[in-house]
Amino acid sequence: MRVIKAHLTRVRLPFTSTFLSSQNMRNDITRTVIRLHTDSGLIGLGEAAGSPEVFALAARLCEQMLGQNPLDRERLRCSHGSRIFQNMNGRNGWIALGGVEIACWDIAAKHYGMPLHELLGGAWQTEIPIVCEMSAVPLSPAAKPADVDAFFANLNNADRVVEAVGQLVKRYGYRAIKLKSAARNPEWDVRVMTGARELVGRHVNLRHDPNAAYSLADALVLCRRLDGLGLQWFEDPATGIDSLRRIRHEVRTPIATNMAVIQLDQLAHAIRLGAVDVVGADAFHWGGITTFAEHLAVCEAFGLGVFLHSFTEFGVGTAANLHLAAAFRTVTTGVDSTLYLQDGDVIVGGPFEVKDGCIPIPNGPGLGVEIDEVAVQRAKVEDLVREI
Amino acid sequence: MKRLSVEAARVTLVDPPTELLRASPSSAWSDKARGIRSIIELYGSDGSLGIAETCGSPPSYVETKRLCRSLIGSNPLKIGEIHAMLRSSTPGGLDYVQAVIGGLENAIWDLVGRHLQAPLYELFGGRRPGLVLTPGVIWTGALNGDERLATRPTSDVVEATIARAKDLVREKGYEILLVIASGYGSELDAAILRGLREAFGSGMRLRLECFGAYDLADAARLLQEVEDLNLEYAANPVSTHIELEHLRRRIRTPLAIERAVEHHLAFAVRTDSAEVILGNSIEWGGIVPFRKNAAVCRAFALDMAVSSWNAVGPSIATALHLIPTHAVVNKGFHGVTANTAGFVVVGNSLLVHDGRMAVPDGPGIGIEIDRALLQVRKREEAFISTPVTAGADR
Repeated sequence: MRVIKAHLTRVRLPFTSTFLSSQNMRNDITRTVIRLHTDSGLIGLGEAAGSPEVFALAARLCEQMLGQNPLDRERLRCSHGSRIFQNMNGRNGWIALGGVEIACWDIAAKHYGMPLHELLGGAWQTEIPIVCEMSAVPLSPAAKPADVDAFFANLNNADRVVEAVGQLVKRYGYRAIKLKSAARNPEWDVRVMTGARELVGRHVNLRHDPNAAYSLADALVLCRRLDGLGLQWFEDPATGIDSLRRIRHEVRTPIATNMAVIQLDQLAHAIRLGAVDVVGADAFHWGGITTFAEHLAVCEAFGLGVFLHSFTEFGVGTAANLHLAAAFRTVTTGVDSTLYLQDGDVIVGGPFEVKDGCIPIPNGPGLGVEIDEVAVQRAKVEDLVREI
Repeated sequence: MKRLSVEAARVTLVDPPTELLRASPSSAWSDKARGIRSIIELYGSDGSLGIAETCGSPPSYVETKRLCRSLIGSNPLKIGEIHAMLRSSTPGGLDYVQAVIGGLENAIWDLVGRHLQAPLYELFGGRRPGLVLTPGVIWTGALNGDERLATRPTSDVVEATIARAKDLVREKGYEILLVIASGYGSELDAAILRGLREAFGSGMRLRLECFGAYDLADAARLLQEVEDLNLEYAANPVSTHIELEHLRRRIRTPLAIERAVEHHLAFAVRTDSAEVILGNSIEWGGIVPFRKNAAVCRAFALDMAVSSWNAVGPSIATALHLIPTHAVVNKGFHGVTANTAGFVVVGNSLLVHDGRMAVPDGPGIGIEIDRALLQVRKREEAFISTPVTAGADR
């Protein structure tokens, strides 16, 4: 079997409300949808971030896949994969590789006539808990940066964030909420997290995630203040492995990261330092499912927890995450998701639906989803086809 | 696709002519029973047959039969679940149990590969790999039970060993020699290593395997003495973690460990006591843990090699699929059974040419059991077709 055609499309879908974190403000999201066609008639689906850089890198990888056996994922990882890192593309390279590698896994599972989770060793759970990755502000997509500034200027608006938490839990049945922090004011974060804990009680897990935007000193003070709330963990309270180590020694709440540890050598370093309790595993950011599995194995060997990190994937990416959560037993804390923000999708049937805080794993061959060509055309930003 | 299940199992105890009678006086490897192997055959509902091997000591054989029963009716495609079931239904901490689980899990993988018509290497994500470098194994000690060796002059032993090594290299084209420590003293082993280096020059890769035969002082003395010989690594010079930690600080030759890390890889990593990890998918409890340990080695920049002692075929084939598809296993085979007279597989697919072995082609591990040979080597067998809840062996 060999790849005879690669089709990459950048697609953009609007959000139903503004997504704000300490890193950025978004009213829509762009992703790269990858389709690898084989001479046996199979189409492998993959997905990656939608920046022009990632799109270009993924296109290069796909071009190199033409004529190659898609079952040979090691070759992709060791040979094709390394080429795109030669110009120090760093994280974008891993993201591009991840998208293409996932398409290869989809082909493999379809080739063997089984769902992806089965190829990965079988499902441990069929209903995957979804963690709501919640915007730092509950504002409409029409909001401008000045509106956000005005929102944060009044500390009482923190209560509106708490109200939004309650609405999401009620509507979707989430059992875990990751609250993004814009890191504007630690006092704001204390009010939001305290209010959310009082509102939802102890049966909903809460996580605090300022995306490493606080300084170590500010993070230490903030984490000590939040330490009694019984949060599931602090996610990247400050930047870098050593900062996380310092904070971990000061608080009882577990420390999690998906920013300080994204490569195996960083994981080794974090383990040696005793810097973190939980690692956010992400096939899309780490270079694919094989590397994802390796990270999980290392975490298991050293007794670290893992959570399945995710951010704004469309249907193809979400399907991949559902299969991963199903097949890897150590992923016990669900899949992060911004599905509640998503307006439309590129897969047949539209976006996955969260019910009682869960999504059932798709059961068709491979990822178990199909591309909705009409939806893709409607959302298309850029298209690229390469074939033999 | 129709659901696949394990319908029956056969466990056959085979007693091959073993090459490994006594590697060292103080080593567990002096146990002749380790030469006896169990061949596991799992019958799939689609007509596929998954094969593997494991150790064949009396308690292993009993445990293998017991666990086979628990596999009847299970879905081999749920390999994670099966692995967990096998682990949870056995007492922990026993090496032979770990190896039994490894054998059964390997057979499950083979069954899955044959069911999907896919070679194992393909399931691991790799293209059909090339050839796997294999060391020639040089027994220096009580070779084939020759107790008189201990009383012979050192120069005679060195001379005989070099002659044997030359024959091996001439015959098989080895580029690596793995020297098994005699266990009769560091002076003898040092002399043998020096003699081999002089005989073959710097182009020959030399490895040393001690099977834990030395105490800390002797191991340090030996490895300091041969430091100029540029050994690729010295494996299992001592038998405990703490000794290894101390030894690491006293010598420069890279250290490799096997038995010390079967259950404690994380500990070994934290103590920085070795650079090379030796293992296999039998004694580590299966392909799933093998691959997990490979990930740990990759994260911590450790090299890996696969050892396969007293094998009768299937486990070597499994290793041949694992080695080239896991880049971290960059040392290839550590040691591998060269005594092909003991094999129970069809054809010559596992022979060494030019110091290399080819990865068997075909679904699963790509080799077949030779029924006639199996009958010749057979000591005992059990056919199991009833699940654990329903009754006993038939």
